[in-house]
Amino acid sequence: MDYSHEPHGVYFLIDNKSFYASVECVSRGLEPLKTCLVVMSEADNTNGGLILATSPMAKQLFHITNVSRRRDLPDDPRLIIVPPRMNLYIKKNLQINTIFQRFVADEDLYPYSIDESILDLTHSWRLFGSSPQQVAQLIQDTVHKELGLRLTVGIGENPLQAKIALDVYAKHDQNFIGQVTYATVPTKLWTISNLVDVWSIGKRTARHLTRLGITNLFELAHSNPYMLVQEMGIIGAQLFALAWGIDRSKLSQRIKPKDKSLGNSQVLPRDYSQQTEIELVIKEIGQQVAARVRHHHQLTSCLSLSIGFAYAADTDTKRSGFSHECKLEPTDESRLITEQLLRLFRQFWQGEAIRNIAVYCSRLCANTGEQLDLFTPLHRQIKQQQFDHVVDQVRAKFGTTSLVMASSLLRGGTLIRRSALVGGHNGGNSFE
Amino acid sequence: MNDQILKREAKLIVQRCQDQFKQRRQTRYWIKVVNDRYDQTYNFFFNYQRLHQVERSVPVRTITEFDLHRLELLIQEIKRLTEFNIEYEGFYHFLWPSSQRQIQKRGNQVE
Repeated sequence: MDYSHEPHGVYFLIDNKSFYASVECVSRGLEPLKTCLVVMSEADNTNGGLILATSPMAKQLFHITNVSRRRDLPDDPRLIIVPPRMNLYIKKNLQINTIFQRFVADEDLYPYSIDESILDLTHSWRLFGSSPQQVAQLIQDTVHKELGLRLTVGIGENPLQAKIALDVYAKHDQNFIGQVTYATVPTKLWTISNLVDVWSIGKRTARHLTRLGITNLFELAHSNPYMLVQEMGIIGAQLFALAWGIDRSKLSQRIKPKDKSLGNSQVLPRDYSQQTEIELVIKEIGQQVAARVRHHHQLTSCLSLSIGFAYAADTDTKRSGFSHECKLEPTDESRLITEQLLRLFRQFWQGEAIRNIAVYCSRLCANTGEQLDLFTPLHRQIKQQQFDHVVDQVRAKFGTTSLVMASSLLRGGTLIRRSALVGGHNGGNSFE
Repeated sequence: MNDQILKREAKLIVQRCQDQFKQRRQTRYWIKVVNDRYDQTYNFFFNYQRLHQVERSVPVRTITEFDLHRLELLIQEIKRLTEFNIEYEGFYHFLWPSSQRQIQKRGNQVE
């Protein structure tokens, strides 16, 4: 394979070792690699407790994995269980990225998730060491010295190689550094026997590939690319490039989404089967999403409601849920949005018990003016619009729960309890 | 932190600990104070552990005023308000400014 025309850079993909658990260890003065600690969310909808993060030692000794449940935890006195503090993790992530900015220009730093960042060190690595490994070690040492956290670093000539180096090699390396280059593709990529270990290949894609007679990366790299494209479309071509360690994406070119949408979803704390309770939660989510649409100065003209059924209902009806959209005149009014959502729900719900609700507003356009309706008195339209904005202002100033619908206090309402959560888990504000 | 704020802080910490205190049998309850040298804060946790079971640790307060004199006064106030034992972490080799007594007797795994 001739790689001379492929982009050759120096990319680091940096991940925090058991991020949430490490942050909690450090704040307790404990060594993250030597402590058995799990971060467990005990929000209403976690069914007793959901493990969000496990320290390396707890993984090793008790074989606990993330997203395990409380019932899977052993009752061992060496184990420490702590609640999550999402705001603290966001703060730490920002501190880490500030340290990264010392090593790369702002435009070469791409935060990828709460604990992963991509650094394009092509132009700057020579300033900090004689080899990329040395620079990686320097970054690790700096973060450890200033924040007490351990980093794992994947190094590659493109972001894909860096990601695979991180996921497959760095996590098991003594120094937590892994490297994949074009030259080492045959020895480092093709030797990966389990397809799902590779980024972007999930269980379904792996099954699809297995059906085509491809069970590892070597076979993928030596399969017929035309056949892959025919079978899997553009993803087939991408997978073929992946097997050869090729990634031509330019991170500096930001991808502009064709159609942005705003939405919220939630897993309910128990199975809801009463119509009034379900409608109450739909209304709450509808109002929350409408408030976000107003906050972004947008109007929506397409609403989507997705309902996921409870496991029991699932087996009875063979349907796992439904998802439907409806068009409406561009609006940001809570009342209109919730009305449409309830109409959708009543139209398609057949009495099943439900566990998930998601509401999305799409086809957004800038809110440049109010389209008046000829059939509604003018003062009522203006009053309605002002009403929403006053509610938003009060909530912005005094908090979400300063003004809630009285119905949120009824059985089944989730708004008040969820208001303190960040990403569905305890934000930890009240502890500061 | 003036005296009034200090008293309020102590009361808040004790109140949050009391909220977690369930008086279960064979259960140890204690307050943990951590000297967080990275964030330059003192972190307070309420810990409890039933005999032969997992330990639970709940964050109760983070004090951002990184001053040992004030911490000493705060701890005195907390001790006045509650009987919970206090365990220190990250204070090895540190002395209480007024009494010159060692704060933490044993070093932990980090130090």
